[in-house]
Amino acid sequence: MATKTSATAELRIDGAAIAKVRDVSITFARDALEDTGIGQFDRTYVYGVRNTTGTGTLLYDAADAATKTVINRLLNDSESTNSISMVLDTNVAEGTLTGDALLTQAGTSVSVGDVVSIPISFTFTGKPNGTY
Amino acid sequence: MPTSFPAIEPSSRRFKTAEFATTSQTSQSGVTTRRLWADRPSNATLDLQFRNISDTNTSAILSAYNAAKGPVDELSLPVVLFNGADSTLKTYLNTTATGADLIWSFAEDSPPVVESVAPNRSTVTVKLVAELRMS
Repeated sequence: MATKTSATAELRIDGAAIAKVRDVSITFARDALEDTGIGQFDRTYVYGVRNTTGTGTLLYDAADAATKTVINRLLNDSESTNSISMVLDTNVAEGTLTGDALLTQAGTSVSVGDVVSIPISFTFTGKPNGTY
Repeated sequence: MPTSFPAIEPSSRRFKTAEFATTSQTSQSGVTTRRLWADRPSNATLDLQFRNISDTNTSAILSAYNAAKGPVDELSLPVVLFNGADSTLKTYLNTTATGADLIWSFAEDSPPVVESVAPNRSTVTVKLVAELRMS
């Protein structure tokens, strides 16, 4: 089995690949609900609700529509969600996670000697589809 | 025939001991006189919280409430309700140490409250009372 690098990965918004992505991460979390009994000395827990969030950094490319979609989404008052996909290997079907998400943060970072970057954050609404 | 309260270990427990029926009067000179009206205490309360329990256990508590017709019928309490207390304290918490004939039941003014937390998980609050009753 070959390990994968970022060269085979892709971040998509509404099905369109974003041209240049420096980094992206998705985190799944489930609440730990405490159900410790009063006679126990060690805390016990059960699974609660799942929460899926992500962050990433895009590189600004005025010619790329997907990149501009992400930036402009925060300036749009629409309440509709966007489909966000994280593809780990564009050559195979496995390793693609897709779900409806709210873009919750997008900024622009400009500094001397560096490319213009756009840090973003997103939160999935509902359970993302796909498996690793 | 008492209704059995389900054997579920609570997450927290708050016990108020049974009270003796008394009245008091304070004279103009500041002297207090107290009169005892009964030789046995009554009206102990037990507040229980079951945090994040399964729907099966939640239903068992509600089923017991219905079977006991709310505060009407007597409850038999499982020992698991008093987990964490030593053997002496348990006799006070279950009222066997403080007097005979105390009857446990659901409190009249506080039916069980179910707070849904997550799928298949609820937090249930229950109030029980131990009182002397006319047989």
